[in-house]
Amino acid sequence: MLRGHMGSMIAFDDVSVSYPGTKTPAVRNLNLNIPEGAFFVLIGESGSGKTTALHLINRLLEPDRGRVLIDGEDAAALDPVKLRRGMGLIFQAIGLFPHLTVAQNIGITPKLLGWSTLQIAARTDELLELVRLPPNQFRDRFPAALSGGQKQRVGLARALAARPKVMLMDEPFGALDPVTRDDLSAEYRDIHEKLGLTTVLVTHDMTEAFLLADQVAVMRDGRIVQTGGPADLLAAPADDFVRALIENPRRRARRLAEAMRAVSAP
Amino acid sequence: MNFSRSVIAEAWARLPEYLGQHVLISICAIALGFLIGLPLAVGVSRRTRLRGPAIGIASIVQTIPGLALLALFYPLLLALSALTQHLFGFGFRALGFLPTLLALTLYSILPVLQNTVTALAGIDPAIKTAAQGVGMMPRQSLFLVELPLAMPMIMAGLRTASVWVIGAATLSTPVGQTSLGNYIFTGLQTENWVFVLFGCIAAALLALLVDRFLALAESGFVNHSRARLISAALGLLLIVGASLMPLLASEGGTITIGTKSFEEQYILGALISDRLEKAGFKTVQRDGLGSAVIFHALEAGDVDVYVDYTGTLWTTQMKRSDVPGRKAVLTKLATWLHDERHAGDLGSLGFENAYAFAMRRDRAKALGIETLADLAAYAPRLKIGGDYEIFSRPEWRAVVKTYGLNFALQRQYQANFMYSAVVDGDIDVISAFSSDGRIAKYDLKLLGDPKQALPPYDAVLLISPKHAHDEKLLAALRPLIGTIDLGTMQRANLMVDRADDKRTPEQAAAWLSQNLKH
Repeated sequence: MLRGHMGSMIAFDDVSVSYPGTKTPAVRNLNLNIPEGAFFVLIGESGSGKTTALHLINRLLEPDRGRVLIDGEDAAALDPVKLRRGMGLIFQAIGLFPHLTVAQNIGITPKLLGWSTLQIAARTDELLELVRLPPNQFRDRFPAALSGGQKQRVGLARALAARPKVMLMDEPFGALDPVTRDDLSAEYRDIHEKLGLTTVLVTHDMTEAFLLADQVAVMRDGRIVQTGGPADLLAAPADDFVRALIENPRRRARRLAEAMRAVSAP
Repeated sequence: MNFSRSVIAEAWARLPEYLGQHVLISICAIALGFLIGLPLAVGVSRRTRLRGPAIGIASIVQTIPGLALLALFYPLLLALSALTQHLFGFGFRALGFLPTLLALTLYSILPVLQNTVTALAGIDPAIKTAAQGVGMMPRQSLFLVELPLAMPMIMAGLRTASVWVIGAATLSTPVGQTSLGNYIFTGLQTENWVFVLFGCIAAALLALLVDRFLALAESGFVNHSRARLISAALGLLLIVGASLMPLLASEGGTITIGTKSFEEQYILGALISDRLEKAGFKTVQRDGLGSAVIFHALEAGDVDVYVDYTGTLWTTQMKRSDVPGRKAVLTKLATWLHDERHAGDLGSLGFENAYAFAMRRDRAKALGIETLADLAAYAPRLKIGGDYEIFSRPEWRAVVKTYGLNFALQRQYQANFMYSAVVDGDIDVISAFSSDGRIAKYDLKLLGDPKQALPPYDAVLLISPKHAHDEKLLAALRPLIGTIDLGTMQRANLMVDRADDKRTPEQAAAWLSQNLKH
């Protein structure tokens, strides 16, 4: 694996970590380079260590061995709170604060950073526009009054509020209905481009990975099985496990195409 | 009915003081309990190993009966006060506010502790992760997210604590803290059921109102309604403010009159109060104090004036077991009070309220019992009833030892029920007070004490060390000395005791005041 980290926004350098009370490590000797501006997808089945890897990036977890480098600096040497304020975190459960309004939820990180009320209000409205929730309608609502898709849009706006360079996303669209999921993931891909973000997204859905990613890393039992662009994986799967993973969306696509033909045939 | 109307008027007249004191002690205890319970809950939530023990200890405190918890703090504080007096040269009042505050505070901790711990443990882990993820420090996560989310349940805990404390505060009367319980204790003692009911309803209404306003605050937190929070806060402020107003208006230079928990004491308390008010003093009454508590209260200056009985102080405070005669006990007690305790003793009111033993006259006649000495042979077949104190007092031990008494059964009663029991034949012998009007009323036979096991019990007027040389006070009370004879006191007592044409202690005191001998 690569040892130099020039140009990497995030790098894992031989990182291992175990949860207390377990024998097998959740992540073993992980080496990864995530370039600045990349849309990087970590894919694997549940228990493969992908969420663990994600949490190592913003120090929700600390490695037992090895280093995580952020923009060339050892994350262990950085203040974890500052580190987290500079990264957006989105996960499936969203975790909106139920006692705060939509605007207060979005403005929380800027508030922690000491922005002025005016700045926060302006930023909140800007973000609501970005995630396509009309500010006048949504600003003062409480999370309980939002649909699942709307909640995740607010979650996205909250993660983007303090203009992070890195977005960490853990199955962000997993709980949404298919239409909403497609809309939102496409919109997010645009936002990623427009804002020049570095995104690390964790999923078990290969289709999602192929549609979004510049680079994919397949994980299994705490290790990386294969890294590469979607095309590389499709062309040369490293082993039967990866082949099985990519076969699934292919098979579904074929069956869907057949079904479509049957319907449109005279 | 003339009686009930004047009783209700009397109850209303006492409401400002009782309610004010009740609210004051409750609010202090609830606030203190909250200020201890909440940080404790946060602390043990972060250290899960401590959670079990902390809630366990708080639960054990909760199982101690309220009255016992209150009673326990009195000797504890007394000892502590003696210690600080010895070590640092200052003591503090062991009676009234402080023991009540501590006991009620302990009571209010558990619901707050338990609810807060449960609420904090129940917060969705996703929300805690999000708090970390947006870059909150642990303290920010606690104050900005976890505690606000736990707030409805914390408020529910506070509601429980408030209802408990407001209820339990009615038990603080015997340790010398005025509260709505004064209605209940006084009413129970004088069979003034209007008072008992009045006290119950007042305490229940107070608890209900506070509970409603806290519920409003709770729903304010749940529904993010600032209007509800503000109206709840205003409502509570209004209750507290209105209750405490009369307290702020009074105070300062008032004389505290103490009474023990029986009719004669209430009547004499009212008589003394009337005298002092006419002499230009402001007075407050602390009713229903225990025998031992009231004397310590006098020494500490929590009570300024009260009536005690020579024999009681002779045996329980001076620890004497000899009985040198009525005059000698009076003078020796006065000397002891003056020299050892620096308290004032104005002298005897003129009658004796002695501990005595009584039987139904027909029963005594049938068995041929005239005195305690005659009783010895029959005691193993007889049942004896006593008030709450007698069986643990030195006088009882002296009587048992002197006459070799060994009863088949001994049982404790509230005074009124004790008389019913002996009249109905449920028990054979009762402890009685010689000035009790009911002895004559039920035609009971007082048993003689030929071997003088019991000391004399002249009613004496005692003054606290603080006022022992207050000439204006002494001059106002001195005219009472030697003016009440036994027959007069018995008739006054009977007015309050009897079931029909019942009078309040104040009415009996007014009658007594007209019938003093000069």
